[in-house]
Amino acid sequence: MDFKIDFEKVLKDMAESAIPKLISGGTAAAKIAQTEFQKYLLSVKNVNELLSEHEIDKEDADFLMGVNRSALQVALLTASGINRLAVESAINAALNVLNSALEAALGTAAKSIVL
Amino acid sequence: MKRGRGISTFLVKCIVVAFFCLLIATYGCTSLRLLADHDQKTEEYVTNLQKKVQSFLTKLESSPQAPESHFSKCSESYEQFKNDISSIRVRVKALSQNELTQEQIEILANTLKEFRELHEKKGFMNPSVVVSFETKVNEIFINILKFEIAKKRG
Repeated sequence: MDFKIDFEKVLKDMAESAIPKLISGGTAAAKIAQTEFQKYLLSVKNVNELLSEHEIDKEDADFLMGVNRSALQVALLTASGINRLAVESAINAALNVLNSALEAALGTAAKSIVL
Repeated sequence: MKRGRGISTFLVKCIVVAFFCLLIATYGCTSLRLLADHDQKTEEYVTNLQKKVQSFLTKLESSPQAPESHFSKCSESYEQFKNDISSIRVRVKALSQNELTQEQIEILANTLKEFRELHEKKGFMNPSVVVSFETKVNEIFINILKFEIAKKRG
């Protein structure tokens, strides 16, 4: 029976299929995080301005600072989730490569039995 | 005798190939899942709650000192938010590997609860607070929906 797999090639192909997905997912998550930190800083600035102009009182300001923190937290959870989805997609891409290699090797093995 | 041994070798080979076929069929076709799948109901419930909150905040913004903007006249809206949050909470908890979304919903619930408490204490909400809150609560809704849509994968 002829069951052969070129492990070095399979490993290389697995890495080649997984790495771009990891990079794109990581970049998307980093972009979300960066944008949200900028939004957070702007909001903090806005609350301070409203407070110094006596548009809102201390209690309102404390409440809005809490809401700003919550919004940032939710955004970072989204970034973390998108990153996790990218990891999942990378693992699945690598497993697909392995699966195809196994199927090909199995096909050769099956042929060697029949012939 | 020789022919019998040939047949049994052939059978062993067939069994080995069948075993590998079974292995690939069992594990090869299934893909790994690190997070829950996209849930249409969650998306709908969150979108509906966002519409209700938006409409409520628009009312507070447009007529901040009107009698209907006083906390005492808003209890129905707050009860609706609470019930909606409760339905969303149950839905997201029922799905496995959905902890991140659960956490997001808890933060949203807490944010709405704090707004209610401030409104209760003040009677009438300061329009500047309402405008800032509207921006931030919408960001929360957007990020919850962005993540839910991303779970559609691909």
